[in-house]
Amino acid sequence: MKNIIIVFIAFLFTGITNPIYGQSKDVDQFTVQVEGLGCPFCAYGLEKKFKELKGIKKVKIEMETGMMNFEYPAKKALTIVQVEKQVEKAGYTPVAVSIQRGDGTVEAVDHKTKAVADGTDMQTLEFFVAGNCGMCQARIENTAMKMDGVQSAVWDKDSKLVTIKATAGVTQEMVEQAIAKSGHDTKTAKAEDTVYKALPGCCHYERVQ
Amino acid sequence: MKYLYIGLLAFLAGCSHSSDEWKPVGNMDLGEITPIGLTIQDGHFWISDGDHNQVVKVSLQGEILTTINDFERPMHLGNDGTAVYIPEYGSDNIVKLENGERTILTIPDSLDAPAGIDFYQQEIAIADFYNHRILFFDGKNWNSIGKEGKAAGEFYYPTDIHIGSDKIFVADAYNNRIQVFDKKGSSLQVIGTEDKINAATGIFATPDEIFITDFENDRVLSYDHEGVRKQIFTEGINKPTDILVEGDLLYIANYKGKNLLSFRK
Repeated sequence: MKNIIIVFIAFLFTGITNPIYGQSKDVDQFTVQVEGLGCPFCAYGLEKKFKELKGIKKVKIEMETGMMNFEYPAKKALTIVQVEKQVEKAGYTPVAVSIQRGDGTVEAVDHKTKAVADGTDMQTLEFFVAGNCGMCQARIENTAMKMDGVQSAVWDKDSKLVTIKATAGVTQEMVEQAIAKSGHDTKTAKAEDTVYKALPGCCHYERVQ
Repeated sequence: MKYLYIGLLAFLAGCSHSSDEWKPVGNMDLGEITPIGLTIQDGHFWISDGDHNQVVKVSLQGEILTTINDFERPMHLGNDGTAVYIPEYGSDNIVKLENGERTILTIPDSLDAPAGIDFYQQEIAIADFYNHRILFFDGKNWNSIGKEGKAAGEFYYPTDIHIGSDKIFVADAYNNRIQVFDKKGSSLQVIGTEDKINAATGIFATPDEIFITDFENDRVLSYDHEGVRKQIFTEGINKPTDILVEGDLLYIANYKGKNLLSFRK
């Protein structure tokens, strides 16, 4: 009898904690970690924009953790790349995405984790990047982090300086071009007007002349 | 004797300057509440907590009296003396909350992320965030004020609004400024452009002063009605979202600080 109770409790516990417990095979569950949700007025907009996607359900953002969860019909086979593009289209920066498919398979990507081989020659670059807020910070840092050879990127909101640690093959010009392409002016690389205008309102910094 | 006079005058000038400044007198911890909007009705605070989709009734001493859940991103609150009105950013509705009953305010136009509401006698004004405009009910008709843009009279994501006796004051969030209109919708003043505000999120006006929260810079600024800056509040300010004056006290809601600060002259 004791064993039966233990098995029953274990079953209950597994049922509650297992993310696929109760999940329909017709539905994929998405978890997206988004950076730069410091401004609630823009962050609530991300939730609102996702709710406009046809078929999306149970959209929820936890402001403290930056975690966004939603469900989407499995037959539409929404990919990690498509989710990241949707988040970026809304002006935000995805740093990790995981999908629990209806058939039980799991897909995941995490842009925060990046290893560089020991003994690699590293350099530090520091330069000005225009921006306003936490969302700008996430976009600037994540853009740099996506580049091959960049190990870390930290942008300071007050000084507007970004500090990059990268392998010797990465030049400042390369990083500045990439960051400008994401919508942020540097002293030598300017963002395209259309990209700048598509940034959320709180990210509309004073353009570099 | 001449020096004595000068010294006395300087002392008096110093006294009159300091008595005109607001000084911190209190700090009310709100626990896990992340305040967005603030109004006082019937001797109680009503605070919207957008992150947790709730509206909370709090005594003036800081005791949480009632928590009401299941709102969709409630924003800057207003009241008409009998009911509290909650703009829901997520549902595009204005919810009227009276004696615990919820109804939807009927508006002859659609909103896209309403972010603030205010009342003055029969008048109602709504900050319509994604439509970059103000909807104003003058007691008879609803009028739309402004459009998306950077020029005077245009908006870039208005987040909060205040109706005075003869003017309308708007927190023009990402144009980083205050805008003032008459009640026919004509632009009268643009205030704060020299102060490098970074997200003007909450606004309040008295007959003497206009207050604006400067969200990203952790400041609140006050101006006279000519647009001349009077005071910069920084002490204890941590991502401020709303502000109001009641009696001789000024209250500031800190979103990140999760508290209400009070000031007195």
